[in-house]
Amino acid sequence: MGRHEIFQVIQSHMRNIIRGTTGKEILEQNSMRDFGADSLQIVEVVSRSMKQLRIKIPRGKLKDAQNLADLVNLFEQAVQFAQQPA
Amino acid sequence: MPTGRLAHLVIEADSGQPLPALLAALTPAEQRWVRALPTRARQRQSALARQAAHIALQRLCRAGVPKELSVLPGPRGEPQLRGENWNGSAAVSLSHSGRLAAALAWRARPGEPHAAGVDVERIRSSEVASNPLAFSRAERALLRQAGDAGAFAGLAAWTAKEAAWKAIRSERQVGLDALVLTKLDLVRGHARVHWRRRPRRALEESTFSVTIRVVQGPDGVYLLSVAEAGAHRDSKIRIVVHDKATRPLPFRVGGEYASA
Repeated sequence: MGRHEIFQVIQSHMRNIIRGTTGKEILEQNSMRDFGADSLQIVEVVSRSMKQLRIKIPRGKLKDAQNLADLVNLFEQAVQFAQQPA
Repeated sequence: MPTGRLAHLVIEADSGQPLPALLAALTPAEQRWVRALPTRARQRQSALARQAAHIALQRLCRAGVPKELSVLPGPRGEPQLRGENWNGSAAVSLSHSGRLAAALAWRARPGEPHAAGVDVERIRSSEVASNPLAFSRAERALLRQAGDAGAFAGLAAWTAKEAAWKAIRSERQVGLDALVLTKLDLVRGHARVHWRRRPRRALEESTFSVTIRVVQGPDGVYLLSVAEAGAHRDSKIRIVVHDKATRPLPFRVGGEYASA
């Protein structure tokens, strides 16, 4: 799964959970707060996205994500790690 | 005779006034920053929170607030007070959710970068109590003690941790895993959150006492948490609430839960 697909997963959950995304373009340089998301909505988007992508990222690492691009980077690394042969 | 420093908590509701009206109460620097935000929703929330912050600061400092004192984000997104000839004698914490914004202002002390934080969240259906991203295994076990009140307990616990996180984030990049909920009292509206990392010497203790309240806002019911750091009486803050936007609601919705 590539970066674009990962971002689409996050965007999809953002549109379901964050009302402020309606009719708006979501770009990687945005943060979820840009669309009026509160902290609870951010946690829900991230956890549902991780569940769909079947990845786990330590809570301590997520604090480094300042915007969606950073989040996608973390997810991409986790997806690549998960796809490595055992 | 009450002891402790005064802090002023102001709660403002978005009554749908035009954005220019919200911006009119802000400094030019704040207006520029708010206008640069990418969405109207974010602009309104940020403007409303700053409006509340100005009222809280005026209540706190009376005549001592510079006219052009701006509340602008610091390097970690924390609200910082900036202005010409500002002496750094006060600090603020902001929160917004839905159509409600809250601002807490208190007297800052040298060498004490954090003393308090505020968080407000609109109550809605949520599974946060069982979310491993939000809570550790021990915290989830604590919240399970709440039984049928688990969903509400999860939201209350979340606001408590968020309020404590806001109190310390100015110091360093702090993640969700640095704060641990150790007690939640849904009878009295109180929680205890422990900061797991070694605190700076300026902070007396690494435990936050959190006051939790339920209020009726313009578009629903909200949970409001205020976290205070420090154990000694003279380091604690006394909160004076200025609130025209909400009305308090009875809090007793569960019991008292603690970590084993």
